[in-house]
Parts: sequence; structure tokens; C-alpha cells
Amino acid sequence: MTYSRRDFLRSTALGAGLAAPLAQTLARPSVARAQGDKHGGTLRISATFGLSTINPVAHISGAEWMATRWLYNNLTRLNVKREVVPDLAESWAASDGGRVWTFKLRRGVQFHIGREVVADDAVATMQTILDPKTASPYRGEIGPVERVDAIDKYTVRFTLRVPFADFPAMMTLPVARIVAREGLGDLKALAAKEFGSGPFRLREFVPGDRVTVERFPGYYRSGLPYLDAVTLKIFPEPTTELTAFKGKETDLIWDVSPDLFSQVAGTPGADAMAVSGGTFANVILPSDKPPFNDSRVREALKYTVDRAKMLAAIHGSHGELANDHPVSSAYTFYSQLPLRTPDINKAKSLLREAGQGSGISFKISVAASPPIREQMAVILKEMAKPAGFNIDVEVLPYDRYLAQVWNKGVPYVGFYATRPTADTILMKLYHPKDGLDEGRWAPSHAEAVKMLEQARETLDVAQRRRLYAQFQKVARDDGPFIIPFFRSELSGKWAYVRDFRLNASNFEMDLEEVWLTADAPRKRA
Amino acid sequence: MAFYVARRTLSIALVLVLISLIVFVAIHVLPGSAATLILGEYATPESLRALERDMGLDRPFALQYAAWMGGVVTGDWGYSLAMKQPVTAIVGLRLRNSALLAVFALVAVALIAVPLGTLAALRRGRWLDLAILTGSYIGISVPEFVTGMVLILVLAGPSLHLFPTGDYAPLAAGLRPWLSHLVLPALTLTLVLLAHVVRQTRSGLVEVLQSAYVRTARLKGATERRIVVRHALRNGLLPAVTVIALDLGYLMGGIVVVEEVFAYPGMGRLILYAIQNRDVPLLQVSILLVAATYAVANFAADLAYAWLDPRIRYQ
Repeated sequence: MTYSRRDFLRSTALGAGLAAPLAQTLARPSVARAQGDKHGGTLRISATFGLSTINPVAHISGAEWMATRWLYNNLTRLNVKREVVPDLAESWAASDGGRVWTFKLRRGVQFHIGREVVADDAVATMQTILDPKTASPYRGEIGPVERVDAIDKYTVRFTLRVPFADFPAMMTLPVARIVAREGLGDLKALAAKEFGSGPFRLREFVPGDRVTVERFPGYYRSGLPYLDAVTLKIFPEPTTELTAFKGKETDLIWDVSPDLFSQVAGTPGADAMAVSGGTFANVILPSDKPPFNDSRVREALKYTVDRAKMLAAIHGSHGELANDHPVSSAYTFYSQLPLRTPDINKAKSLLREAGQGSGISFKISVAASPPIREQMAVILKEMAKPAGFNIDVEVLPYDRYLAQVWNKGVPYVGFYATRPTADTILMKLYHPKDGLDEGRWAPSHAEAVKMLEQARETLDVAQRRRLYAQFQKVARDDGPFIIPFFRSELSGKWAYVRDFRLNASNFEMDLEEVWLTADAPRKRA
Repeated sequence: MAFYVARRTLSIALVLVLISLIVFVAIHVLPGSAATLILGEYATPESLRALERDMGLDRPFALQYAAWMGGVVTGDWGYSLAMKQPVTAIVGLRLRNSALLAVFALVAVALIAVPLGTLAALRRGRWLDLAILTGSYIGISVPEFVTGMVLILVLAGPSLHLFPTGDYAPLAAGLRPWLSHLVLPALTLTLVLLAHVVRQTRSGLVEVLQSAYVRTARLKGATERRIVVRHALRNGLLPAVTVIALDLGYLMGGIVVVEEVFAYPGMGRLILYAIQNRDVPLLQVSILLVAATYAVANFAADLAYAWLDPRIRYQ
């Protein structure tokens, strides 16, 4: 098939009715292009699900977060080393012991609509997200914000109800993209239009199928991005996705399963990329009623798990072994504890001590997707059998799982992606008010929960480290979850895609410095 | 005839209203709502309530249906709950894509299956007949996702790479990309649908070839070609026409698997998406469009009957 870049531009430009402005913006880099120039080309990315909306206030899944990352900026961003670095905000500082956070905005940043980004935009965006009427799915993640004010044209001040040390990291969240206030009047229109200041602006969006963005020439990081355009296309069937990649119809596969990952690794000229983060599946053991209200029963079950074997079977050993708490080494406040090794005899004696020597029967319900849930339950069933656990695994469609099992105080398998900080995931998992407490564990462990509150409210790093280390130990020994491992994010790209770094929060796909070598299919003129 | 057309049109409208009611009830019986599925495992009781209010899902069932019906009648097809866009904006492209694929597949099926069926009927019981029947049955017995996947791996794989793996291209991108994206999905569907039409053509024709009027034609000395084309096919094709009409409905909304395998944004995938996300307004309109296609195609088939066989008269 011959299909030149020029054909592509002409067609999509006509389709979008953008022929004239598009031709202008794209003509510049191609004229200026010299040998070995990083500028130019289209990067084609594939994913298997999502992309219902590009409304940053309402989007809910990885592919959507990825797309808005290209169209918008946040106040801060999380780099691949998981450090919070400046984006629209140049600097920030805490006062009143971490209860007030002040962000200084970068001057001269332009929105795609041709106006400077000012404090009022950040304030209007945050107020929209926090307004209960907006019904933003991730409203709760932003933190305990009481009010947001513009102090002057370039200064935004957040006043919180309680001190919150990690607040700047919350501004990296996908929900906290800064939208020009013109775009906030009609939130429905935001689903298909964009009002961002990001490195790319929207060219075409077909919900559920594809999004194409093009270089924004007025981007605040001058000279960037290098790419002329980026396409994200949904291939619902992973085998088709891989075949398209192998045929160089796409340049980058966002998220691949372990078996397809090994195929990417075996393809000459392709780079298989894995990055370990904090993504995990957890078996939830409701600790408010028998048999799991006895911590010895929970511990016995934890002792039956051969973590290394489980990781090898489920995720091809791409990952990090875990200790039944959600803090991986990717987070700042990770505390290295001795890893629990499988010990069936210990499990048996713990059960005997708990008066359950004759064994325990219970049911684990799992949603059919993602497959890791069922895999984990089935393997646990076999590993726990010799110790006297008789587990029945029930697989449900996702809708029934949500309606009947999830957060209903029964055993099931949860699934969590890497969050910006340890605090986010710990609060989500263990806090009864700010989180879910799916394990029904908080009422009997008020002291541990208090530790989490103290840790997020203090600015002193050493003290926070102590508190988080203490909590991780309690969660490992006594907690209501089995967390056997953190699975790596797996991705694939062709070698001609350069300077692409996979983030452990893999939806934070930063493409500003990514470039294509001259032999990329969509770079040749 | 005019009375017949009016009566059929009215009954189609009635069927569509009934379908909309059934779909509405069915989706309310399923567990969860668009709000619970959007929020998923991040839902809190407050966020759930706020979103349900925002989407109007907190209203009584009858009121929701009445509001939706009122909208449809006045030309407002509503907003998709999950995609948060006007349903019309979403459905347009998918409908066009599905129609395009359906036309390609049906034309291919008709062009291949009718001659094959005729040939099989003429060589009834001989090895050619057997080969045609067996061949077309292989097409229908292999699941469409296997056929699609094999075609992708062989024809779109890195070694041959004759066609793109999936996706679609607008006609504005040029004739070649436009066509090349349609080849593999259309071929898959042709292989799947071939057996029906071959079989119907063959059996219809076998019956007709044994009839008295064909014998009369033979006796008066007409050539075999004239007998088959002029006399036998017109009658023998009737059952095949019905099958093709039903296939059109299937192609417009039932080919979820093929659309998924080829990453082709058509009506089937859209309906699946709408069900998975409890997106009632999107589902209603999508189902109604597919149902309308079925109904109209059947209607057209009945009219084609009268044209093929002048003895058939409608009142």
C-alpha cells in the first residue's frame, strides 16, 4: 500500500475542514527539516480499550488520560523518576504547616485558543472539578481542598481543610489538567473539543476508536514537541494489535500482555519495554467477620502464597515481589521489609491456633477483566489447598461484579494502578472515610489508620518515613489484603522511535521529546 | 399496492416502538447503571448520586422512557451517557462504515454465491456439486474470529502484508487506502455468509429445474442457458433473496466479532459498547437503526419477490 504523508495530511485536513491552518503549521517543520533533524513525522500508538471521551474532568481510563496528557498541561507533572516537577507552575511552597499551598505560574504560556494561561484558569478548573454538581469521577483524589483563590495574575493559592504534605503530587493527576475557562462553561462540549495548552492540539477525535493530535507551534517549551502529529487508535483484539505493530502500521503498543510482550521482544528492530511501578491485584479478606476477623487466619493464607511462582505464572516474572501492602519500591516511602516466604506448616499451625485446624472453606468472586483477577484467585486456590483452605472461585461479568461483589464485604480480587504517591494508594485502601476500606479493617485498627493521617499531615520527611515504615509492617503482618506482587507495565515500540521513556504510571505518556529517525514509516517525505 | 406499502410501513413503526420499550426494560433489568460503570471501583456513594442526578438516572423509569421518546419524536436523539456527545454525532460514522462493509460483503456474496449455487444445482450429485457445498460449509463452520484472524495473519502479516490489519480510511484519503481497508473484513464476512446463499440458490434451483414449465421449455427446444437464466433462476432465487435480506440486518449490527477483530468502528461494536456501559440513549438509537434495517430489508425482499415472480401480488 502506498500512502504518502502528504496524502494523509490532505485527507485528514479536508475531513476536519482545517486545510488552511493545518497546511501552514505543518509546512514549517518540513521545510526547515535538515538531515538528522529530530522534527517531523507522525507517531502511531495503539491501545485495546477506552477513549470514550477527551473531557479531562470526566475521563476515566488510561487511553483517555494519555490523550489529555498531550492536549493539556497540569500545574505539576510526575517525571519518569516519579519526582514532582514544574509544568504550568514554576514553583510552589507550603505555609501554615502544609494547610496552604501556593503555586507560581509560568508566564507567557499560551492556550491553543490563543490566550495566555493565568491563575483564573487554574482556579476555574479546580472549582469545576470540586463542584459536586460536575460529578467528576476523580473529585475525591484531589485532596481535602477547602478553597482555591487567584492571588494575582500568576499566583494560585489552595487552602486545605487539613495539612497535606503530598498536595503538589495531586496536581499531576489526570483529572487536574488545566482547562481554559472558556471551555468550562459547556462541560458536554469538552467531551469532543479541547481547551488546553499542551504540546499538541486536537485534529480529529472519533470516540471509542481514535484520536489524532498535531503539533502546537506555540508550545511553551520552545522547539518542542518534535513530532508533527500523534495518532492513538483502539484495536480491541490484542492479536490484531500485535500484527499491526509487526507490520509497522503502528509504531508503539501502549500496553501488552506478557505473552504478546515476549513476541515483541522476539521481533528484530522492536524494543520491548518494561517498567516496574505500583500496579497490583489484591485478594480482599473482609476482616470484620469470620473467618477473616481472626488475624491468624489472614496470616495463614498469606503464608501459603509462593509469590515468585505466582508472578512467573501470571506476568512472566515481569514485576516486583510484594509483602501484602501496596507500597512498592517505586514510591518514596517504600520500606524494605523481609519478604514473606511460603511456609505451609506455619500456615497449618496458625490455623490450628485459630481453632480452624479442620480447614476453612470460602468463596472468592472475581470480575472477568482484567484477567489477572481470575488468574490470581485460581492460583491462590491451588497454593492454599495443602494448608487446609478450600477456595471456590466464582467468575462474574464486570457489571455483576460491581453490583454484587465489589466493596460489599465479601472476598474478591481488586485491581489498582500505580498512583502518584504512597499516600494516595494507602488512603484509598485503608482509610474508612477518604478511601474505601474494602477489607473492613479500619474499625479494628484505628491506631494504624491514625498513622496514615499523621503521615500525610506532616511535612517532616524523616518522621513521615518512620510512620509509613511502621504502617507497612502492620499491613504486612495483620492487614486485610494479600498483595503477592507488583506487575510491571509492558509496552513495545520500534527502534526508530527515540527518547521515549515509559512511566510507571504508563498513561502519563510524555511525548514532548520523542522523535522519529529518518527510517520511520511516517517520517519519510 | 399502495395500501400494502402503507400497512407495512405502519407495522414497521409499531415494531420499532415495541423494540425500544423492550430494550429500555432489558437494560434496566441488568445490574448497575451508566453511573456505576463509569465510576467503577472508584465510586463513592456521593459521587454515584451526583453522577446519576447529572445523567437523569434518578428519575422514575416511566419518566425516563417518556423523556427519551419525546426527544426522538421531536428529532432530539439524546446524549450518549458514556461518550457525552450527541448520539447523532457518534452514530453517523458507524452507520456509514457498517453500511459500506455490508454492501461490499453482500455484493461479493451475491456475485459468488448465486453462480456457485447455480453450478451446484446443474451438476447435482456430481463431484463439483460436492466440492462447492463442502467448500462453502467450511466457511460457515469455522467461527468468524478464526477466519478473520487467519486472514490477518496470512494476508496482513509482516511477510506478505498485502492489506492493512484493520482500521478504516475515509474515501477522502484516496481510493486505494479506502478499498484496501475493506478487503479483509469483507472477505471474512463473504466466507461466513457464502454457504447460506449457495445452499438456498441450489435448493431453489433444483426444485425449479424439476418443474413442469422447465420441462416444457426444454421440450420446445430452448437452449440450456436460456432455460436456466430466463426461466429457472427468477423463480429459484426467491429463497436466496430472503436470506440476503436477513444477512443485511446481520451485517448492520450483528458482526461484533468481525468489527472487533479488524478494529473497524461499525454499529456492532457500538452496540456492544453501549450495553457494556449501560449507555441507554446510545443503545436505543443504535438498536432502532439496526432493527429498522432488518424491517426495511425484509420489506424490500417481499417487494423483490413480486418482481421476480409476477404471480405474487400484494394487496
